[in-house]
Amino acid sequence: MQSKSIVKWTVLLASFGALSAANAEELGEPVPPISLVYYAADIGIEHEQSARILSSEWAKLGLEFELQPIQFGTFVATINVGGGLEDMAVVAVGADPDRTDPTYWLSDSSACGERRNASKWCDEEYSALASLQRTQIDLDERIKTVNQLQNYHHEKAPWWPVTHYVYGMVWNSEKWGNISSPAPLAPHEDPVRPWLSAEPLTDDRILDWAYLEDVSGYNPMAEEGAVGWVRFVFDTFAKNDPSGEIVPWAAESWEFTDETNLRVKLREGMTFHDGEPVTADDAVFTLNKVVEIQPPAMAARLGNIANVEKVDDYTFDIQLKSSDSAFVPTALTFLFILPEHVWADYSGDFVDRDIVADNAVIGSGPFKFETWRPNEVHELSTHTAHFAAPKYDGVRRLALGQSDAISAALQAGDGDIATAVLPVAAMSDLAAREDHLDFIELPTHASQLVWVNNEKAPFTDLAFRKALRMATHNQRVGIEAFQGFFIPAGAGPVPNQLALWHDESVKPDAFDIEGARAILEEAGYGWDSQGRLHYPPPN
Amino acid sequence: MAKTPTLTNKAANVGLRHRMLNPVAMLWQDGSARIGMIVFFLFAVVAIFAPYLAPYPPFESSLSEAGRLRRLEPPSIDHWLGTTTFGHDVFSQLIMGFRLAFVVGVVAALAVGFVSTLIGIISGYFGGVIDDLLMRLTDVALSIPTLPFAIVAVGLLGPSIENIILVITVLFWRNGARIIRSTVLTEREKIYVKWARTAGASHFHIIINHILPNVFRIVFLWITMSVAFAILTEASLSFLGLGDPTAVSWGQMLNTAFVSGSLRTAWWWVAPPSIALVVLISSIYLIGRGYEELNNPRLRRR
Amino acid sequence: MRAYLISRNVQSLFVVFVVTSIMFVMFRIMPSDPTAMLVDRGMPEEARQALLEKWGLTGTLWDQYLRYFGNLAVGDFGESFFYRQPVWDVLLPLIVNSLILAIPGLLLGALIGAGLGMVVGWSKRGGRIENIGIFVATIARGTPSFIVGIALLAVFSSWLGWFPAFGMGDPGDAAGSQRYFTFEFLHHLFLPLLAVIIFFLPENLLLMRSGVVESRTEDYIELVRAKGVSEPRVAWHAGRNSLLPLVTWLFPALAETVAGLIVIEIVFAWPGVGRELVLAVTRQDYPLAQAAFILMALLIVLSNLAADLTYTKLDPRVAYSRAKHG
Repeated sequence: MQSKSIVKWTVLLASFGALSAANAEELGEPVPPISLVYYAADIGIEHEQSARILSSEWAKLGLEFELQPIQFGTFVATINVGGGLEDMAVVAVGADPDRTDPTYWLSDSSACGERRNASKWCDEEYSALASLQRTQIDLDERIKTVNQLQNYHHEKAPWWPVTHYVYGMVWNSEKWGNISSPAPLAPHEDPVRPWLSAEPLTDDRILDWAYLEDVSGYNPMAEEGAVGWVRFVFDTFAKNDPSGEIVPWAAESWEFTDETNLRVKLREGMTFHDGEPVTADDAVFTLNKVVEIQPPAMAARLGNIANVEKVDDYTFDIQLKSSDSAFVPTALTFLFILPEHVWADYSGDFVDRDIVADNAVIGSGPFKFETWRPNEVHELSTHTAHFAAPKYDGVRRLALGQSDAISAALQAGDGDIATAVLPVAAMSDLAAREDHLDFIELPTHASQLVWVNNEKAPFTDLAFRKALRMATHNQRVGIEAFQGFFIPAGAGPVPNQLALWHDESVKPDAFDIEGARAILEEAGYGWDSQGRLHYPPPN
Repeated sequence: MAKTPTLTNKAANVGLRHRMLNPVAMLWQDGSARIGMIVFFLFAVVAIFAPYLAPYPPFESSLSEAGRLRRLEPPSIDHWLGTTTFGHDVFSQLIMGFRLAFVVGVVAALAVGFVSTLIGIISGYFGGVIDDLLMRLTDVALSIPTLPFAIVAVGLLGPSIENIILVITVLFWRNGARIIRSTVLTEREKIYVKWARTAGASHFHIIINHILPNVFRIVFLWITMSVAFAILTEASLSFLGLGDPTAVSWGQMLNTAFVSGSLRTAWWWVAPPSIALVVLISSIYLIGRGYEELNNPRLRRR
Repeated sequence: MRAYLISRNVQSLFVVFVVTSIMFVMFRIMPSDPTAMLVDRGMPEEARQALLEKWGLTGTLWDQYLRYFGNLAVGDFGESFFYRQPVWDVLLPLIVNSLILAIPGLLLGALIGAGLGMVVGWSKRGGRIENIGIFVATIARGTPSFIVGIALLAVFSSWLGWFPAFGMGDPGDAAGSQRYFTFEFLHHLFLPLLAVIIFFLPENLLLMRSGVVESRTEDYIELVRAKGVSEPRVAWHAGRNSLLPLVTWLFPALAETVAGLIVIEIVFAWPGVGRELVLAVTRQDYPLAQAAFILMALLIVLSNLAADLTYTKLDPRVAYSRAKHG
């Protein structure tokens, strides 16, 4: 089947070649080979396979590709935020909770000069609109602007999604019940599901989470890699809900008293792990402190806070510099409460404080810190006084470092649940093989995207970008690289999982090589006798 | 012996050819070396014809009639060694792996052989300050932990075949240079070298005509062993996920099986590259072993 | 003699210095900006500068170099980018974990290898034991250690289910140094230890066998035999002399093991230095990777030194000739 289609294409290419060879004098310069970068296998095995598949389809437009894997860390540093994209990239972005708000997709990744605008696209009109949506507190108004932005973005094709991720979760169903799906959030980013709802079915009352990587520390002002885990210990004010709404957590309610003043009311009766009550003083202390010191890891979320003031024992006001509709979904779900009595007297650098060594890992979250052996295991015990305390005694996160150990742990019963790293297909296989394991799919808003360098030819040309997008074979990527666990991407930058924000009226391109070639031809591109694509001839 | 510097080219060539074949002919006498050479030769043949032997492109996913991925299938008529988690044909990947092993092994070994011979000869022949400097350099190089260096260097330079070969060359010239130097030291003192020098022969001439042919056996052995080191290093790097992703290698096959969590189930995917690696590296060790037996008179059987 | 010792020590120090410098330069000339991935978007320039300063990344390369060595001189490897803790605090327990695998593995490998080497060496020349012994040892030597590890996992953990597949103990086990004295620990240790032994055994076997074969032809062996000593004891006499090179070989071998342990640690998810090195490289945690690497290099230099000094002590002629040539 495969080889037949290749033959077909060769014939097609040859005929195109013959056709355009006659008009050889009307061709411009040949389009040079395109470098295509992607995440090396250290962060997952699907990226490379995707890059191979996508480039083999794009090659049918008469293009040549140089594949170049880059280690995850270097990739993020040089391309995601470093502005170092040469030609094209096939990348993935995770299902972070704050990405349920459209700001990440519409503004951070697409507006002029934004640090994460890796495609380096800049359209003043679009950017102005992207800033506007952020200041619109009225939901209906904001949705209108967001839809407008999606249409605009789709029309200009600065970058586009390929597929969305289906994560998986596999667990020991003989030992644990009521494991609920956090989708579209990733389980390792959300403490509520499945973690707090899980119920032990045996007298093993410690939930063992077989995971890959270590946490880098517990100081919430410094940690970025494992925000979800650290939020087990430190409560946030609000939480993302799978439905896309922001629900109360440590804060019982909040409201904008005017455009820039957010009044937050804390839940009463909460205590820190050392037994002291949680009050507005703690929250005010924490927020003013982090605004003052601006920890690098938090800078983006704090940027808009002007001042925080206590109203009464359980109420405080957050004064913003400008009206900000993304503040609640991105900041209230992220900011945390430190106990003032533990921190007030500390004279050193807050961000630098090694709170494990200082015995200062004290929050008000559903779990208390117990032990940490680097690269081996973290252990937390249940904070029974918590309003959402789970019905078991504690949770352990095993840093196993490799997939095989994770599947071995689940098979042998040393691990109770696994949520990532082991490829979803392998989780599904494992559960099918072992009676005691259950598996569910978690469709998320994590996405695989194609980025192009909008500052460099031929990507500066809208027709070229549109042709590439039309030749992006989502289906093949989903079946062959994601092994069937995927959601085909819709149109526009906002993932179709975010039902509240995604504009259904924007229709995605159907994969169509001939259509893509037609776009190129219309824009003046041509092919030489070898089938190579040439720029339009200079006038 | 060649007293005058006017040895004809033809004679020199015959001498060289004789010396090139000599180790091979000599090794043929040793049973285990013979096995090693036969295996090595067979592997080389597969490597050369790999693209014609592999039934599928190594990264082509096999799909069923219904368009589903034929992943992790055990061996069948369609796929002699089954498929990987991406539905790739294991047999085709295995065959293409021969090619990569030989490219890396042979190119790196020749580079290692060249560098270590150059340094060994210059150091041993000229002696004095040059020798001191080069040997200090060798001391430093010998203190570099092999695999950790390879990991750090490839991690920083980026995983590509060229970088892997470069790193292997940087790592393995050191032991060779030492061994070759000590052989040169004894050759240098031989009477005919002194004659040649008094007869006014240039250093270059003496090195090419008198020193090099006599250290050739050692160089040959070192290059042979370097093939094994190079293949082993490439396999280890690839297994750790630092291999060249655009080519198929046995280490990389094992890495994919490992990180995709298939190690425990897909024996048809894990066993073939493992066996190929063991057989190839062992065959080279068998050659090296036979060589040692033949050259150490006290080990030789009587 | 003393002059030799001094020069040898100075030499070692020099080597460590050069290797450390090479590492320093390698890590610094890379194009990527380590703060870029450590901080979230929109980080103010001030905060970025503060971070750079904290990690000693400000000033010219030369300034950074001097500062790095200044800190190294007082045993300060800096702070890990990833863990945000002193590198030393992160590495210390991992070093213990690695050595606990390396040292017994090495010793057992040497002991068993030497024993088998004696048997093979003393067997009939060209006989079945010799042929099979050499053949098997050569193949074992040609087997990459990750393949040994995978094979052990497949047979003893996956198929037979006798041993755990990963880690150093069950998650709920005792912490601190006590953990090394539990049954669970030994249970977890067995497979990786076996892999290390298999990594070492063939080399020892072949070395010992060569030694025994060589000394078989020595006159004194005939003399011993002529005295009517039993055959195994004659073998012991012949083997004993081959032990010396073996013993001096052990030091450098230890260093190579710790370095070669990396893949075994990865396969068995053993929390050691090697595994951490690989993780640090992929996380671009340069201070940690650099420190792990330097410690391994230091181990090599020290063990070479120890081997040299032992040899010198046992055979003073070496010192003389080396002082002259080396």
